[in-house]
Amino acid sequence: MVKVTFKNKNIAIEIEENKSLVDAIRLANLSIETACSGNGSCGKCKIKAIGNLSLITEKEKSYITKGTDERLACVTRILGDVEVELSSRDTALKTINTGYSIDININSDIKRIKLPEIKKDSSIPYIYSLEHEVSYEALKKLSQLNKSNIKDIDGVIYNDKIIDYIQVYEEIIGVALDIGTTGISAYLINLENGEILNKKSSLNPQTEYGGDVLSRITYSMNNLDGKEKLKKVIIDKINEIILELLENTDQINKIYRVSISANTVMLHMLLGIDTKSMSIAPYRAEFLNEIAISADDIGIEINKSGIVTILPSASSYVGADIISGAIATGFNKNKHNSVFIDIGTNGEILVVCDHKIIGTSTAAGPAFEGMNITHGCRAESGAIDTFEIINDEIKFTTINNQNAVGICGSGLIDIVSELIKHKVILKSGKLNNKLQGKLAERMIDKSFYITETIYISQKDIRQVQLAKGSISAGVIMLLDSIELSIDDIEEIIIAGAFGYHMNIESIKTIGIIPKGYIGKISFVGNSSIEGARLSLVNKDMLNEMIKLKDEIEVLELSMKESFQECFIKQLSF
Amino acid sequence: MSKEILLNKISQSIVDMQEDEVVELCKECLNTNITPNEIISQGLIKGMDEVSKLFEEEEYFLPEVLMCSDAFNSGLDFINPYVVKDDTKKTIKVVMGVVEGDTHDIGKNLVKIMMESGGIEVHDLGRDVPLDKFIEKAEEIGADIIGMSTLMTTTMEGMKIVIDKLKELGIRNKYKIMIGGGPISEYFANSIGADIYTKDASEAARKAKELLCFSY
Repeated sequence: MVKVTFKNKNIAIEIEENKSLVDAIRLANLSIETACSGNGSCGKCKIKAIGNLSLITEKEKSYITKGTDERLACVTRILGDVEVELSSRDTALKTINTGYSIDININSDIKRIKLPEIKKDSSIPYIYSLEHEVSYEALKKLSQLNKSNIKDIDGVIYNDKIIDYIQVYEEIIGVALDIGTTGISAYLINLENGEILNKKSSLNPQTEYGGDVLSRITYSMNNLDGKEKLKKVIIDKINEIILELLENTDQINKIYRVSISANTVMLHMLLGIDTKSMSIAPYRAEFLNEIAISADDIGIEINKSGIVTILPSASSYVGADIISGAIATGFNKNKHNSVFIDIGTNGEILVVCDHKIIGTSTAAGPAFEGMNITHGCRAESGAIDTFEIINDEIKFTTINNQNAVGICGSGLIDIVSELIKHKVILKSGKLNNKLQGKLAERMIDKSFYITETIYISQKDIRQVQLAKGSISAGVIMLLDSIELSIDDIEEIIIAGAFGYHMNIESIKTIGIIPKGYIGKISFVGNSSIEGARLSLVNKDMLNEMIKLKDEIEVLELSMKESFQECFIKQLSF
Repeated sequence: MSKEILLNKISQSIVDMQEDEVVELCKECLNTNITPNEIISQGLIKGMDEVSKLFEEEEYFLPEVLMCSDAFNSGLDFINPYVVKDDTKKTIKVVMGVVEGDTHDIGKNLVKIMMESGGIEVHDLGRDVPLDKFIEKAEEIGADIIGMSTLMTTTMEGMKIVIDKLKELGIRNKYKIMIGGGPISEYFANSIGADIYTKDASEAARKAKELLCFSY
């Protein structure tokens, strides 16, 4: 056995020789992403390590910086005692800043063009030798071009109009954003080759003014400057994230476009548009269409001629986020009957069948985000994130291996699922007061204790039932409206940060998806930001979203007579 | 079987959600000359009182309550034709609905079930109810209580508008105002001048009866 010490974590473990660093990290209950399943081809597991390690392989060399202690954890073998330093991550919010998407060609609206040479002897304005129209901003800069520098300078066009000039070696950049009710994710993207240059995520600062969509709308209704305030904090945050994404601040002028996906309410708040009508039946939005707006006009600090694109939504509660996600995953083109569920504070659902696409949303509530639960918390350091029962003994892990401080969404689902399997929770959702054996000792006063202080109460279980019941009922009602049942579905795709961390068995056991489903389940992570990314690098993607927005037939569940009956039926486990 | 045992069995069958059994037992009661009013109050309503208690204690959840209420209603439907109307007896009349702008009515429906199973006459206006409608209907049927519900913070203000309108019309004191729903609190109820806030459906039914010092 050899010793592995984790710097800054106060953790040391023993492990057999010749195991990989990834094995050691996981043995220590620390997390590491291995997107390529550990074959050294994605570079995601880059960490710092010193000590008796296997030699650096050729493959590894292309990901690590020479002369540093960087190694790829998946391919590096431990030969003797070592010290490991994991990259410090923002632990305030464990959100998923990555998602699955289809492959597409690069064909951005924003392109680079070669400029013709400047004729020395001509009195005809240079602008006449250009094949493109020139924007006012670009016209003002025209005089900076001269005969000697013209070969080092390219034009930047947007919709065939020259909007700026850049050096031939400079990159044309865009930013893809997903604004969730709780979290924001951002990608910095090279618009000419589609490469993701950097990623960041952060808490939505509007949460301070209301954790869920409705309370935030109420805030903006009850405060004179509410709308402006909500707009300002989110714009400030976006500007802050953009700066963090960049290697140096000069790059800011190379950002020509920001593409934003979000739920419909977040999009209204971003633009400072009134949200009141969306919160009152019949829940009418002020706008649903895609909007191209000058970055300067809404205060997003990028190139002066930069454009901000707001992606299209289908209704007040079937937003750009799920449209974006559907396009990113190619869901709308599925030939087989399939269901797409984006789980957030609201559960948004789409069903595709015979080229017909319908959608709805259900107020799942924030239980799956760890809210409304006695010891619930966000996916933060110390949150219980997995849980199982083996031989009547409980076993759980916490984020960053810290002392348990609460239960986050994935932990909650695991706990409820395991308690159902071990008959601690009955089908009706009631805690089993006739329980015998070791687990019964953990049951005190209608609560099941996980640690000495952290427990899940009967009321918490009811909250989980309400949340899962509303999503499951939403799926059934949607299917019912086109005369399908869950048996006719071949694939269910689960999007959203929540699903990504979830144990598939737990999702099935508690019945977030209707019981009896035996088809395929796929997790696509944050597909909303993937859609925003695709819309930046290929202009057809935005057009597809616009098309999809009009194709989706939206069903408002709370107006359906049969919803109550269906919902109640779905409450049991 | 003695009268008491039979009536207790009805109550228990409601708690156990045994719809057919409730009807059978009601039949048996009538055959042994127990009065319809006794069957209702000592058997059916007593059963729902127990259900309501179990719901408050979180032993029962929505599905169980609805199944119990189905059993209760089957029993009631069977007994009703035999009930001799007693016009001198006063029943509590409640007008209720989900306020304008909100279409979420499951909570309101549950309150309705609990109240009806407690012998209260409920006039359900449904959901997304225009605010004036509450007052119109209350005046029309001579209601004792106006009940308003909403799930959304954005439509809560509607409740205050109804109360203010009642004051304006000089008829505020004719009615007791009950409010409830997800975002509603005791504090909010006080601040808009409502009479009662209850946190769940069974409490609502109980308080409604207490309020008017009512016994079946």
